[in-house]
Amino acid sequence: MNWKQMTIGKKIGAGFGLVLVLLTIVGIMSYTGTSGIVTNAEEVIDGNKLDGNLAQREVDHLNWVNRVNALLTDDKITRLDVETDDHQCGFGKWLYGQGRKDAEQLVPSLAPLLKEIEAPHKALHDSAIAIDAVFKQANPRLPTLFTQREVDHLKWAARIRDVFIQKQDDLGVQTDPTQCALGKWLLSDEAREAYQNGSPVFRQNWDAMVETHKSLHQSAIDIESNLAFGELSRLAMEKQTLHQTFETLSTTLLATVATAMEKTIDPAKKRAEKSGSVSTLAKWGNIDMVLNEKVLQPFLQAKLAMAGFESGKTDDLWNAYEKKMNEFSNGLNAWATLVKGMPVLGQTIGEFDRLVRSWMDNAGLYHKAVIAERRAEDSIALALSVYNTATMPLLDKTMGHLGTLRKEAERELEGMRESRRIYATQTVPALVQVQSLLGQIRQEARTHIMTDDIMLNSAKKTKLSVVILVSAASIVGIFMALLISRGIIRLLTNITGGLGEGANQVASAASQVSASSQSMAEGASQQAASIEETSSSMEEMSSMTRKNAENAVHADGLMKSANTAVRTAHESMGELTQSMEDITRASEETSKIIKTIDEIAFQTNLLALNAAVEAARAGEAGAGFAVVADEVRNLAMRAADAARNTSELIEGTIKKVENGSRLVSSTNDAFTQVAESASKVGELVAEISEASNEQSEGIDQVNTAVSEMDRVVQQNAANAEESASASEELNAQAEQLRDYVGDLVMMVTGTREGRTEQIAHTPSAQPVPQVGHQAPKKLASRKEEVRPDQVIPFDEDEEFKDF
Amino acid sequence: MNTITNKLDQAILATTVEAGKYLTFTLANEEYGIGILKVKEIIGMIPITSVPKTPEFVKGVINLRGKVLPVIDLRLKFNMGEIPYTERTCIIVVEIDARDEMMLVGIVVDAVSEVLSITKESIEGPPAFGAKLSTDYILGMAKTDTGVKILLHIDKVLNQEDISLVKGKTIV
Repeated sequence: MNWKQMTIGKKIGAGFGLVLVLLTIVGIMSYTGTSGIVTNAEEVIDGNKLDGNLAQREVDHLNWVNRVNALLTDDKITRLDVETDDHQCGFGKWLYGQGRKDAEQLVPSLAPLLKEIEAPHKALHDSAIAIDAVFKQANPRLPTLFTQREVDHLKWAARIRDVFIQKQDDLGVQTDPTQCALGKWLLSDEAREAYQNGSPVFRQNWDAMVETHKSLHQSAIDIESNLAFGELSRLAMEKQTLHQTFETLSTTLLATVATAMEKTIDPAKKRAEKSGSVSTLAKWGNIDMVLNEKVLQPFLQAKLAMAGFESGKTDDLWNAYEKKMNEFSNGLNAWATLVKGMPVLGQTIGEFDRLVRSWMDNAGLYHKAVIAERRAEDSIALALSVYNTATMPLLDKTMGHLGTLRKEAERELEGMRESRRIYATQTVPALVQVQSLLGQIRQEARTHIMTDDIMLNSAKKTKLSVVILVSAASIVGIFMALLISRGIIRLLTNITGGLGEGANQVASAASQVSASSQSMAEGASQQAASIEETSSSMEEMSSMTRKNAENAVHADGLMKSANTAVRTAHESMGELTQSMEDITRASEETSKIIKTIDEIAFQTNLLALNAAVEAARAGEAGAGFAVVADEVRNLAMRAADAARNTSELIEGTIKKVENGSRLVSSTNDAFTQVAESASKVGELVAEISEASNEQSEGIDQVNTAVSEMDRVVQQNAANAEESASASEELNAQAEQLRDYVGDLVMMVTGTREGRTEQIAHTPSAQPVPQVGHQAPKKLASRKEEVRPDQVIPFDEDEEFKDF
Repeated sequence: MNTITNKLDQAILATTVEAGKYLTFTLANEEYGIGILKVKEIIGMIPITSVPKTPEFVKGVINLRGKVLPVIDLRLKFNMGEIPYTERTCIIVVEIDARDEMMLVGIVVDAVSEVLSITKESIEGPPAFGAKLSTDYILGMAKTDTGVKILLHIDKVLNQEDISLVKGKTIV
């Protein structure tokens, strides 16, 4: 192969290059492997993150739906506190943000699924908006509760009514508005919540209801405080007792009277009748009469009045009774006065006194009882009126408010029902769809994202390939090292041989160089002389050129003045044209006047002819006149002729003026052309002037160059001489080269003699380090000469071409 | 019979053509003459009011100092072709014998030349072109220094029909 023909540098370069290439390959392999692992790891992490993210979104939406559900099922939650914007929820931000782009980049097949999920996801959030719009937190128990409370209060009112029927003092109902079932409930948290959640109508009714409810219970208190059925029955009993006492007293009194009548008065009267004692009879008669009329009669009347009072219970009746009682008392006193001193009736009087006292006491008590009864009845009547006028209307009002509240509550429940319907018909299906799509997305992501095992496998593969490559590279490196070192040694051996030969040839060449340098020096001095001549002629040329330039400048100035003259002529031509136009105009004016003259001549002619006609008609008398007419006609004809001539002359003038003006304009054009040419000539002259200047400068430069050349030629001559002496030196150097070659052979082969003797008979040269520097330099300069013959064997040329 | 009448007319003409003064005028570069006693007046061209339903040569009427006269274009009458009127164009007012009346008629001519005295000797009779061509409107041919001038018998130039046509318009 051509390995042997390669230079040492190339061989080393190739060897190291190969090793470097292998190293690079190993490096690239490791790098790509590691990056692959890193990428895979990133992908795995991203995939896991994406999967986790999606799972999190799924959970988020379950939680989200839970919260929506909680709103519908949990009474404590009254507001829909969830994200309703499908772009702002966790998943929405991910879906409409960078997350989705990353995910689509990671798993492109996710894109349609993600697109598909947008609609149900939006529907899901929209359903929340719809729920939020229709939802109203309402207590579902409220209507029932209100109905129960209505019933309660109806019962409550019925109970109060029963009290009147059953004549009880105790209402047996709750009179405290805060302690009844409704009152207690009103104070409860549930009620407060219901009130807070209620609509304005609801609240208004609520407030009114609370107010009327309070008044309702207050009315019950009023009723209860006025109830006096117990008192009434007690008083009835008392009255009964007193009545009996009255009866007993009455009976006793009447019996006492009867006894007094029968036992004392009647016998006394009979005795008086028998005795005939009128005074006694009168006395007893009086006693009897007084007893009958003043005592018994008023007593019976008083008793009657008492009965009236019992039924009427008025103060008037009582006063009537007292009046009767006073009469009775007075009668009794009068009767007692009558019977004073009568021991038989003294006992009766005492009896009467006792009875009357008891009666009076009893009557006082009775009176009090009746008054109390009357008061109790009034009180009950008041209670009843309270029941009828206050309790019942208030009950009606409360019922009305409660009914309205119940309806309001039911109406508010409608919102909840609607929300539930939306939840069931929109949210849940959308959620199911979103979940199933999320499931699909996750499935899709999992199938497309690299798993940990795959990543591990590819990492192992990378590791294995790197190990294999490194070992292969090591083997190749060792092999290359061996090859290169062997090649270099062989090559050096060959070179040293060639070097010896070369040194000999250098010596002979140096002497040839010396000779040619001598002749070159001579030639150089001749050249120098001719250059001197060239330089002087160049200087002459330069002065000529300079003069040229000056002349050109002068010509330029002349051309400029010519240009000015031409311009003046041009202006004069313009003025001439103007004056010619004026002449033409004046001629036209004259022409008009001539025409007028001609007209006059014609008219005169006509007049003359008419005159002639008239003269002819006049016959002999007009003969003289005819002559005059003829003369006038002649004059007219002459005037016409003169006018015609003048007119012709003027027309001729106008024609000539037109010709003149044509000439003027063509002259004008010619002047313009002259002006243009003059300016062009001026430009050309300026250019010539400039060119001459440049030429002059160029000649100066040529001059400088020539003197430079002169200097160089002189230098050349000196150099040629120097090179002659240098070639002598070269000869000596060639000798020394041989010594160095010997050193090199020693270095390569280890034997100085064998190889060196073959090439040249060089005396032993010391390996001087200082000179060692020069050796490669000289070798490099001589290499071209030596190599074709010595280094490259001709028999291997074919293969080189192939390469 | 007709020829006899013509000849008679010629004879009469020969006797009637008198030497005297003639007004000469130009018509299509030819010189014509009219006896000066037939001429009433010469006027320059004035606006002519055209009259409908008249022959082409009747150009219309003019107002001459209060008199309305018919105007005849002699070029058209002589079938010479119409040319536009120039500033030399004139109207010669002539007296015409219309049976026993005299009437004034305007004749448009190219230009009026002069009043010439023509002697009897220089007048010749009209040329005879044959029986078919009537030359009775020509009095004769006057030979002058500047050429031959045709002397017109203006009464005959306008025949009776023409006269009756224009007569109604002008009563002298």
